Amino acid sequence: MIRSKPTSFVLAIVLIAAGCGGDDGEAPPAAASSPSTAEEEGGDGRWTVDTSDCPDGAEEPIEGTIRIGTTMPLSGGPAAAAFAPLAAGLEGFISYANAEELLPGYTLEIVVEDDQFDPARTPAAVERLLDEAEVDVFASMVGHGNNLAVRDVLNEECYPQLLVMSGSPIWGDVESYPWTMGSLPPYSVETGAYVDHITADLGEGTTAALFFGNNEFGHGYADAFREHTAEAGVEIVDEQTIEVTDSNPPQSQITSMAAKRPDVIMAVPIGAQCISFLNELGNARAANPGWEPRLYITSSCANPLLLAISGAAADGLITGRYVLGADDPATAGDPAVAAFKEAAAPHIDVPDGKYQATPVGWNQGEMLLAILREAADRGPLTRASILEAARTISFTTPLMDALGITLTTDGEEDPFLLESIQVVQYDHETGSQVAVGELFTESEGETEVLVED
Amino acid sequence: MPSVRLVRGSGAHLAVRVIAAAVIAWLLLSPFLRDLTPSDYGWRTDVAVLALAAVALNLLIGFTGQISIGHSAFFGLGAYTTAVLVSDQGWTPGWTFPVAAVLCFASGVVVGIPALRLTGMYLALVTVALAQLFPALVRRFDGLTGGSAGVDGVRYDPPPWTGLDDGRLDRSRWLYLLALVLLGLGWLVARNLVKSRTGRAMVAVRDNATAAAVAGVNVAFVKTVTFGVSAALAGVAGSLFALRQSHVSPDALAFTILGAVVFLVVVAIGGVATLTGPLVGAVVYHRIDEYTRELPRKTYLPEPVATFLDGRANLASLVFAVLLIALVVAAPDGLVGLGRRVGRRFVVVTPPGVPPATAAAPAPSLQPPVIESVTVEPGGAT
Repeated sequence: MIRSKPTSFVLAIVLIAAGCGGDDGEAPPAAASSPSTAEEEGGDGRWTVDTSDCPDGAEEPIEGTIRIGTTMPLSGGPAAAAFAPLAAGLEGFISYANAEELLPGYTLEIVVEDDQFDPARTPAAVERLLDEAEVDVFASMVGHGNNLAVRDVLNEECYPQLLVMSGSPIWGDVESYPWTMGSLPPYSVETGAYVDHITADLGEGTTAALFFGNNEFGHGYADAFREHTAEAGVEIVDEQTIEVTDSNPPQSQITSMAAKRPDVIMAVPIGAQCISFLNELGNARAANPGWEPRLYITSSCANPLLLAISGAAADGLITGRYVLGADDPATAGDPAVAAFKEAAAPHIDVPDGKYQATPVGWNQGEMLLAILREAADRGPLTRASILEAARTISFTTPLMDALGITLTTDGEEDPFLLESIQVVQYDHETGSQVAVGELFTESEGETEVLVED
Repeated sequence: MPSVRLVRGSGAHLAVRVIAAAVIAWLLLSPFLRDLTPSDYGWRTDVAVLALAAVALNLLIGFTGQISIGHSAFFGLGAYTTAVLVSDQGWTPGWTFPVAAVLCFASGVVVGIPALRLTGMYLALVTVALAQLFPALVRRFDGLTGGSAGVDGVRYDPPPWTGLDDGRLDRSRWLYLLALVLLGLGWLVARNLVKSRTGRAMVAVRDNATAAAVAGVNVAFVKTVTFGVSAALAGVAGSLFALRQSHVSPDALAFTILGAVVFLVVVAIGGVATLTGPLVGAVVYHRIDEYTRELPRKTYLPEPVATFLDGRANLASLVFAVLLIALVVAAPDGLVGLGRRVGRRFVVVTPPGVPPATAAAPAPSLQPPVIESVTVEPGGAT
């Protein structure tokens, strides 16, 4: 097919030359090795990070301005509907923190890159943040695959990848990836809370169906739910999936579940899929008189906007909450909500008086500020000191303290920041999320880390 | 302004081609002489990956007339071949390119054989099914592919002979060099194929498969082999993509039908059935995408506009779509076609030995002659 002999020759030579990439003819280990490993403890007994293999800059003092970088899905696909207000909340908090000089001697600057929830776009976005925006720390990046796509490079370059917005247990692997840590309750914590509620309320022998998105987020929930239900004697009678990019109503999946008539459904759709799922489930209920499954749905669907759009179809669903919302009439009088609204007013646009998910983004800012303050209190602010503060801290934020939640880490002993969640039930009539039971804290310090091969 | 006439093969014609080649070489190679960041090398590598995938697809669509909206599957197969071999088996990444090419060629042939009976929309539908199938297969065979978690640690450190280290900057330089070499080789393969006897057969099949068969062209062979070569080139593009990303997962849009549509758009923007169209289309598509993504932050925008766009990221996507539509409307035969049409107003290249008057004469009309009357008499019409 290649008529030109010189071309064939060049092709062969180049491929052979490209193939000779090993130092000594053997194929080098392909997996990137983490350049820094966690040391056990510093002089004060706290966990510290080894920066001996880090490029320049990890221990350089940050002065004047702390640049924060993040990637979020701001456009394209169902995920943007859920996560776009997050960016507004986070940016609003940064603006507020600067206005109130909450970190004396420093100005916070945040740059949000849009990766459209596509893990293939996140590396380029992070490169821009590193090279053009010259950020000092990454925080609140959204998406499991998105964070995974850049975990290696951020650990090699020794940049804190803090407050990852994913509940996967892999973010607890301090030994291999010390520069990366999560901020959401791990999937096992949330599903544990739900199964706990199921067995307390409905008893053993309850049947369940599982519906989840066909990505790591969905599979993570599904795996954790299966594990907890097996221990609790709850039988899973049907499992259905949906593609992440599928915006069609999951009619066939719900029809299949309805045929098995489970007592409960555990659902893990994403973004706008939450709405279509709820509506379709409502249709299935109407078509199957006598079948009233209790619905447990991922906390990422407990977005006030998504619930409001779902209307009566969302009534009675059970979900998890770890940050107090600002649109919930039941908590409108809470001092933390009032304080949030007052502080946020000059810094966040609130169309139609609806805050949607902006309190979650605002809370992420609060968490980051707490870490930065802790680091600043301990000494010069560097990338390494910020990470060490994040890994050995105990604090709370106003919107979490209102739920009784404390955030704690302790190096490799306790790598997960948030391991508590409150189980709530949604009332469509009032638009409120009402707590059902006590705050679930059984997983504090107990969440198992998932170490990859 | 009268157009300049160049005779093909003349000194002036050669000089123009040399200058054009030098300009293109400068554009491609000058990054190595400049103080660029990994991000700068990174987007150039992304453009090269997209261009190579578009070259692959253009072979099929432009020169053989076979519509494919499933090349994301071959792209993904190449990416996963490299990812699994590098990350799980410890292969040196360079050796995975030929493996990916062979595997994708075989896959392309396998897909091409049953597609022989299909044309147009029906062939497109089969390829759509292929695009839908690939991510599902990746998730299904999670023992090999890592399933939804994907495969990470897919990196290519610069070989010692390059003199580059394994830091982020030098790695990005190495990947860009690799991308240029692979794009160049892929383009040469496509060019040589198109200019060959097989290429003439491909065009004949595209224009009229029945007539081509009557003329002695083995239509099945041409279609199948073209599918295979096209898939092989797309697979190599996917391999490069995996090394650029250092992580592959079935969630990546490039491995879904959306990725296949992007390849199609790139070919259409650049110019179907042109050798340089995919290259031009890749550059334009990528830069428009980048430009509109960062639109709210452009400092030259008037403040009211910037304020309006800020927080409305979806509007930037709308601008992107509008720009693409405007491009297609302004250049229905692609940017290369538009460039040729505009260029012919200034420079005309004629074959050697054609007199100026003839060269300047308008092309003979392709309209059939008007028959005003026909008289039928015994023995035939007059």
